[in-house]
Amino acid sequence: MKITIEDLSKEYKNGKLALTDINLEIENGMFGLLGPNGAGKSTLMRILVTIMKPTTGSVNVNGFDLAKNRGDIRKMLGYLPQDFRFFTKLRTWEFLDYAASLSGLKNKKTRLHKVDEWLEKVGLFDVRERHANKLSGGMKRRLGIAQALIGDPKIIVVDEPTTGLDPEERIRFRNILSELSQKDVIILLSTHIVGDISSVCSDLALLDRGTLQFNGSPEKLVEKVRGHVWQVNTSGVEYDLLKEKYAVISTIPSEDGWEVQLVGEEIEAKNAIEIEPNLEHAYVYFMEYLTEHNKF
Amino acid sequence: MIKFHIIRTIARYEMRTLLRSWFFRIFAGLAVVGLGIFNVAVFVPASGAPWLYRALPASIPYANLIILNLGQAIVAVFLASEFLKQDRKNDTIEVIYARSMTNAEYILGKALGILSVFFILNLIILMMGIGFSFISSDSTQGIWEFFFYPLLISLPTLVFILGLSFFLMILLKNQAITFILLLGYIALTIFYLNTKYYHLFDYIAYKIPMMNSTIGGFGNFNEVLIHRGIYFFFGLGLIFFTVFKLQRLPQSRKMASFPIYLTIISLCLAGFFAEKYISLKKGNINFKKQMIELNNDYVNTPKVKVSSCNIELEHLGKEIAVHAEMEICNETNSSIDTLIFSLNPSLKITSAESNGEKLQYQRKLHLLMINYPGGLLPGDSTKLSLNYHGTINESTHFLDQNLDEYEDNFSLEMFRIRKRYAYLQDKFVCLTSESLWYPTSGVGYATTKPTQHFPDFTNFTLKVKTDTNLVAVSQGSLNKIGEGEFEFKPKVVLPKISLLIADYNKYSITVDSIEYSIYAKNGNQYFLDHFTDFTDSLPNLIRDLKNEYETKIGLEYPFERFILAEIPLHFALDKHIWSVSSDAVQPEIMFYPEKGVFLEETDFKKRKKRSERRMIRDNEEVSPEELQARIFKRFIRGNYMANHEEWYMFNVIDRNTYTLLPNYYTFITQFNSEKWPVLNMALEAYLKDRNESSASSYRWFFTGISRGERINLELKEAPLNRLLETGIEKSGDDDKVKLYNIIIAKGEYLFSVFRARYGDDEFNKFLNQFIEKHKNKVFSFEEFEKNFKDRFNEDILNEVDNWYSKKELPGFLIKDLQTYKVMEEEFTKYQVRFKISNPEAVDGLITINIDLADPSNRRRRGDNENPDFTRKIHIPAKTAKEIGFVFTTEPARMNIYTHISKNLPNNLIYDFTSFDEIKKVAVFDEIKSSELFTDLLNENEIVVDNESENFEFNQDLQKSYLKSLIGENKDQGYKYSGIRYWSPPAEWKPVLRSGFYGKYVRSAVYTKTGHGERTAIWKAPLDHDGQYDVYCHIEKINIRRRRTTKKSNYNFKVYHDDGMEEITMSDEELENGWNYLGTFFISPSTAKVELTNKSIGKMVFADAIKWVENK
Repeated sequence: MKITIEDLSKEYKNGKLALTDINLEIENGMFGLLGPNGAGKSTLMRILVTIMKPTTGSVNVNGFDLAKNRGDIRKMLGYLPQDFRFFTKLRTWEFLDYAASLSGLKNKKTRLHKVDEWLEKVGLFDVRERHANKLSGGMKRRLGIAQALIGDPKIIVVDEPTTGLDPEERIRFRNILSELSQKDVIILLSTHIVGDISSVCSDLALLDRGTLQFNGSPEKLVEKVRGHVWQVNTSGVEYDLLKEKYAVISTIPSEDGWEVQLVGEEIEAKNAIEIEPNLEHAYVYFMEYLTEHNKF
Repeated sequence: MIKFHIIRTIARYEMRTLLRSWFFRIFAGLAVVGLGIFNVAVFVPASGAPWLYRALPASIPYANLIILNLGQAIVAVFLASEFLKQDRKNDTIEVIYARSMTNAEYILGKALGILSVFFILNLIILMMGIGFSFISSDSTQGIWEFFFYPLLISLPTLVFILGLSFFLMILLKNQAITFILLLGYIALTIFYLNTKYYHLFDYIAYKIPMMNSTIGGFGNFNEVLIHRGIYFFFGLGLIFFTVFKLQRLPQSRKMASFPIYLTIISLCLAGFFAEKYISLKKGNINFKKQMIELNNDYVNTPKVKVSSCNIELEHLGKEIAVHAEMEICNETNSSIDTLIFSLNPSLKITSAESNGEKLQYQRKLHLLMINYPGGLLPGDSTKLSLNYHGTINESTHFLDQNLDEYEDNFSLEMFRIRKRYAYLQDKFVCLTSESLWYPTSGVGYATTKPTQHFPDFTNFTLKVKTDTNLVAVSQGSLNKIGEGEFEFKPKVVLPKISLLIADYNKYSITVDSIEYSIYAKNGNQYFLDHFTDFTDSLPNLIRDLKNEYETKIGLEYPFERFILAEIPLHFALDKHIWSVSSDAVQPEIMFYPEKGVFLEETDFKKRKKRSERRMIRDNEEVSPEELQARIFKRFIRGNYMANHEEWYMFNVIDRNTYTLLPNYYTFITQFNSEKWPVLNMALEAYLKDRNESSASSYRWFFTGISRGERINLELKEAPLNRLLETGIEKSGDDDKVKLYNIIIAKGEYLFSVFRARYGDDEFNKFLNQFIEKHKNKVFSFEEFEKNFKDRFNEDILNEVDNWYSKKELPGFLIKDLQTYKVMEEEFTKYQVRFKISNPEAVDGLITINIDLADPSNRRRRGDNENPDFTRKIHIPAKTAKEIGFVFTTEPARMNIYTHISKNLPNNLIYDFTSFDEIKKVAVFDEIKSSELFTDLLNENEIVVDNESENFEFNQDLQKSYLKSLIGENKDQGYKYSGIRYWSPPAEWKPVLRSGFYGKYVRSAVYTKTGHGERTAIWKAPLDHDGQYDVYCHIEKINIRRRRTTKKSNYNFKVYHDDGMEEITMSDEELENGWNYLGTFFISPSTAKVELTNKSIGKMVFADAIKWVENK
């Protein structure tokens, strides 16, 4: 499976540029789309799931042109949108059955079996008779995941899937995706939570204000910020100055004041210690520090 | 390719969603409960629901579906717009949109889901109908009707409204606006558009005639199908357009524009059907017009008389094959080269021969023109044989109607019924002479000679061959030759014959050598169960009823048979302008609508129960035999012998529709006047009602403008001959006056004047003898005139000519009405006397009805609605009479009905509140000549009435723009209207009432009260100044509302030489009639009185002001 995105741009009717010249190659496995709110992640995903038309550029999915062969591409898709809350008056199992049926499962017996299997998998079997709009926020997301995955799609697009999930559910969700990513599928996951990606994505892209900032493995991204992450023990006026100048990642109270982790090009603070960067540091470095300081 | 699996899935889940929506559940619940109650109500005889509901299997499904459809058309709008709204709101829809399916699959699935939900509801409602129909013992049971109705009514409506809702939602993207627009559209079609353009805009099918008959099926299935096709395809087109415009990327670029092609195809189909529908409807009218044109061309061409006609007819399913042998003769003074016959245009001639010689012929629409070599010389006769076959084109019927306004369908309750004129089906045939199924000499209706309808009196024989299971019914003695073969031989010449063929059962009895039969369709003989006990007394009963009727009309039944034959309820009962009755009245045969659905008293079960309840109430013991006899009598009297008081549930029929009179007059003789053909119907109308009291049951209380008054208004404008040429132009009125009504009124009037002039007995005896003498033949005006002159020594030629071509009418003035007590042989008696004058140049007729005071103060309905005292008085032109009556009981009311006259209203009502004390004068109980008076005023009196040119008013119209737009079209009716008690108009409107002032026209203008924004002004044309007493004429009309009566007071401004005086007259101060306002010095320039609409009451009337000079 392979998705090739070339020179993709999207301009909304109001003139807002949502995406500018995006070029990406996405292959089997889990692909993370990182970026702050409004970066164009959802737009890109909606284009990929054929809900929205790009203004220019092309997308090729496993040899199929997105503009011409929507039917063939839709057959491969499983999609969970960001705002998956409102339901018509259907029961939990019915909603899954509806999705399964639309994904081509004609045989009623097989379909119902599959529905039960997925209800079990996402832990909704006990509430299968409950109306979907009566489910809790977490349950709704799980139902969303189940409906996206029930037709055994080859391309799974999940937009901010962990929003509103408690830690336990997030872990369960990650596991499901990890399991799936071992198969011949592409999982495209957009998030602004670095933790969702760090452990599972083999590849990622960083989007900001519609442009692609980075495309590669998480390790490569981390490597890019080596030498730009520090830890400083500080207090009083200095702390305020640091906050203004650098992107602060964490602040922990210490005996003398605060122990602050921050990113920046170079450090001007006394007793600043360079520390080992992680994905979160990288994300903050790219998204907050560089953006705010117009250094892109 | 469309994947049905996807459509089914979407439909299935759309259905589930809708079935769970409370909006739909509440609607469905209300529909089921409401219609359930309605069904129970109409099925319980005690509920008073018309018999129609229980009698026919189509009634309940049709009614249910029509009611349901009104509701579902509205609910569907909401549900359809709802899903598109939800779709936009819900992000969940994206997970559906991302699935592999086409937009068409999605929208079709959604539409199918909504339709399925309604289909389930329709099914439940239908099952309910089926249930009731099968439980009921009254209903003829049917099956297939049940399934046609949802398909014809609901499906096209729903597809259309879904399509329209989708379309508007896609276009407007706002559910509220869509909803308001569609509700507006629905209201517009229900209340306004549905009657326009042959019901083209009636998408709900509320007015589309779909009633199904147990005998003849649907009225016109094709037409209905085409009409419903318009909306089905229009809806489908809009649904495809929605597919095209759906906010979802199409599955493939190649197929993206495919839905728009489907939209265009569907819309084109809808357009095609609409065009077809209109052209079908217009085509019928145009065809009729062409026939009339043709008749006009040949109406003056001499025609032969058909003296005998032997018809051999074979019924071949939807066709007939006929061999007709005729004997024709030339009774004109010139040779006839071209024999002109009328024959249905759909009947193809295969041969025309005379004495074995083939004749050349030509067909022009319905006319058959045969060249007779050498011409048929005057006085000669010859034989003519014709062979023809084919179907029947129903356009030949009712050419004499106003075709531009003619409606080919009618309403009964909530049902709409397509009129049918003839039937030629496998199992049912109904042909009347109007169908032109046998050749008749000459042409039919021609606008140049509208009332000339003089069919030949012909010696008919008819042989019919049909299916062995069917029974034929026609005139004359019946000889059954073999299975399915019948021969009919009328004993005497007849102006027409008819033919019915159906699966009939015959029930007959012979009384005094007349055979009385009922031919009822197998399965429809429900009446048998209700008349089981009076078999023995039936002959007497029939004899009594026959005598009763013949005593009333003063004529004797001339035939040997009397048949009631059942036909579909679709059969058109319109009236021609040459006969009082409808086409349901044929020689010897009366057609009756299946199961008597719109006849009076055909719900025998209900009548029996009511009678039993009344018997219990009145402690009356009646044997079952007697009870059935009463019910039977009521049925016969109500339908076939109805008097003026008979009230009909449906306006499809009136007391003339089934009148037996043509069998006593029109079918045995003919008043054939070349110059005044209308006399034939005029005499028929007179004979029918010559012994009836002429006032209607509304005579005391009627406040609107009656039919008689409308007739007077029409005749004031134009004489009869002009009206016959131009027709009646007034429109926009439910109770429209037709030429038919005017001819009847004029006919009754002409002969009633003769009768009043020459004496009841004398004149009627003359007529009876004359008719007897001309039995089975026609008579000319000259013959009539000669006989008339011999008997009464008077020439009527000029009088008839004036009656026909002059618009002068009599007019009546009444004065010196006195009511007082007198003594006669020690008894106190009550004297009523007055003077009446007819200063006009035409003889007039009045009918005086007097009701005596009823001690119980209660007028019974039904038993005896005739007035206690009635008298018809002839008032010759330019004469006056003084009339006096004396009663032993105190009279309560007098009503003077002025027939055709200038008087409006034509019922002058006098309530006698109290009689003056005993006058010591001689009783005056006679009618004597009096001095002619032409005015009601004294010398020193000047009256300005609201009809006068010296009266004016200012309207200060407060109509809204919309109201004025709608009102524009309404104002084409008559000048006068009825008083709208609950909502008086915000402008001055003329109304008629006996209590108002007027020489002939007793009218006033009235308006809603207000703050004095509207005024009425009377200006007196005084010759000189002087001291004048000023009076206002008032008729007190007050309304009670919530137990209180707000009585109007009147604010007058009387102008005089010293200025103006405002005078307020309270209700207590006012009396009916002239009221004194004051005495003033007035000169010609100041003589003016004003009335404003300022009053404490609800409305004020401006009538007349009188100035009386004090000398």
